[in-house]
Amino acid sequence: MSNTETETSTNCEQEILNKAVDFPLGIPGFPELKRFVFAQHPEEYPFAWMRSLDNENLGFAVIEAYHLIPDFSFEVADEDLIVIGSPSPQKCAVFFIVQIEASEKVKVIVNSHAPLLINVDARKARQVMIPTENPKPTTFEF
Amino acid sequence: MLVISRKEGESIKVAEDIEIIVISVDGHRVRLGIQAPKNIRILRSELDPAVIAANQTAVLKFQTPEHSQLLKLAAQAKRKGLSEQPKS
Repeated sequence: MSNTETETSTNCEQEILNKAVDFPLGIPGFPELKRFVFAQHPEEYPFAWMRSLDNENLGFAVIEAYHLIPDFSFEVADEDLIVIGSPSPQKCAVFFIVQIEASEKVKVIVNSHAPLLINVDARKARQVMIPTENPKPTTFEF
Repeated sequence: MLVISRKEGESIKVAEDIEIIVISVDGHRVRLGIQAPKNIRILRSELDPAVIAANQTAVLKFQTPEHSQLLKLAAQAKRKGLSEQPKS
């Protein structure tokens, strides 16, 4: 069963798992957290952990963007690309930090205007901000 | 900080290639037009605090055991996919 599940993950997703990813600027609210490792147990697919290497008690639940919003797209600013080492588009992975609330239903709350843009080759990343008129989170219920 | 008064229709220039035009002033609301190269990112200032707040809510502390089950639960629920309609 776990094989079937991992087969559906993308190459980009697989490439960064279990490796240290640098966030040269930290992430908003946590400028001191500059290195994370992405980890995923097969049972947790398509969700994954992004665990801080600077403070091992801290981390985030993440998901590759298209698992929640299949047609997610945005215009990447040059400035953001430079921070992550100017990768080619096919070497970029896009994740969302999610907040999960589990009671009767599971709520997954995502800020789609602030995705994580990851250079999978150089393993450098930045949480970018997409100009929006409505910076409110989106809630998915399962 | 430089403070400049401008009227509707007037503008200011920043460096060589950025122009900010006051389109209209209506009570407490000002509409601005910004002409800048594509590589200049223009954001509403309140977006940054919104992202900081969201990250601070989403951060998980791994000492608490319930988090170890959280992703598994979410993954199971998503696979069942009862409702994938975004709700804002």
